[in-house]
Amino acid sequence: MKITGEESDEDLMNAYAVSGDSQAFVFLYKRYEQRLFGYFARRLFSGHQAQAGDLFQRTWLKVHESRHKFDPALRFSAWLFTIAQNLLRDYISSGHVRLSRQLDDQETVGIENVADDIEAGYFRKLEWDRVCSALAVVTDLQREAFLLSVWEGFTSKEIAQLLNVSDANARQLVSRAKSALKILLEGARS
Amino acid sequence: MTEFTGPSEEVSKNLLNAIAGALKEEKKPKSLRLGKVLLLSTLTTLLLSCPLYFMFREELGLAWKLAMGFWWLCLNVGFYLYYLPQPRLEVPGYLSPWILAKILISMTVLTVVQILICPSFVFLETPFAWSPFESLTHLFMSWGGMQTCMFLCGLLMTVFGGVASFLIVARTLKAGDSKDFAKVLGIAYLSQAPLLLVQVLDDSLRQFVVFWILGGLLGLTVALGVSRSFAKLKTIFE
Repeated sequence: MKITGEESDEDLMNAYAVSGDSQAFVFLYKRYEQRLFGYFARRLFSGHQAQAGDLFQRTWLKVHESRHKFDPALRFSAWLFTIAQNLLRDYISSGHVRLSRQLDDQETVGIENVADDIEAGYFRKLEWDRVCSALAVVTDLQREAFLLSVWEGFTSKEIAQLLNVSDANARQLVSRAKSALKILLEGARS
Repeated sequence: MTEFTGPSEEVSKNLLNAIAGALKEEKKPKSLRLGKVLLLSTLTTLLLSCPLYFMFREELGLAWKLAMGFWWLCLNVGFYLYYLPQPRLEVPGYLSPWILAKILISMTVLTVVQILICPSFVFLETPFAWSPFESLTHLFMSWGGMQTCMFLCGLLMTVFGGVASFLIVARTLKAGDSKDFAKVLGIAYLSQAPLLLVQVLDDSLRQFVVFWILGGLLGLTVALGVSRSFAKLKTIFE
């Protein structure tokens, strides 16, 4: 079967894993290149951007190693980001670096990318530096769920898979993070 | 406001090429790969053992011949891992069979080269009139007898080879967990196993082998630390 690049992620993954089609891998890579790199770049301090590049490469290498284990019933994006998340967790737990709680100004570009979202509109009403400080206050799980929802654009189902919580719990985490942020930001303003 | 960018063009290009290369290799017949492994390991063993044989032929007993056979096996494992279809990329913390193969092959070659340069470290008599390392082993003996000598000889044998081998893959070893480092030390120590065999089969050396083992392990640990520090320093200056 000739790969055209219009196939779903799962079909491309199947062609790559089963038939060893390198073109299918190229299409998958191009689809997730920016998003995956951003995932690491946003979570590490700005002084660790080289490590973001290393983790980015290791994620794809892990995808290659584990491609035969890919379950077509799962969404490729959720599988890819689960690998990314595990690598990031190992990296953090090895004591090399702490997760970035204080986001820097490059994050605002992520906001512009989702300009149509309600969240983006919500943020635009608030001062950015206050958002950054407020994000440092919410719990780790809430912050992760919030970032996955707003920045990476994951659905609650995908967030649930990634964070190993139930769908309802994922929705609750995002909602609580938003509420907490709102209270914190309104409190700071008043 | 800084604009958010993705990975560099070079990173993307290298990654895509490495994975395309691995997929291509997977489609080649396995027998071809195994033939190449066998040929390369046999040729390398011959290249290494010939000078060893001509320099020390009177001292090389059955134990040494067995040791050479073991090095041939080490090289087979090394070349097998090297030619396994896989993405050939050096990424910090990504310990692929290719990286382990580089360590094993270089460590095996360097161990034999070290024997040629400083045979007194493995208790062989140099055929030359003067050897700079002979006096060193005498010094070790004067410090604390055979135990100290075995410990320090083991340490020196592995520290030089270890530093050189680990520096080849220093970028990869810059990151990693304790499991990764245990694998690295294990594969590097495999090349020293033939020397242990020689000592175990020698009646006068057998009782001191444990000191050699400890020295060797310490030497490799030191070598790993030195190489990792070097890689980290290099990153800072880059």
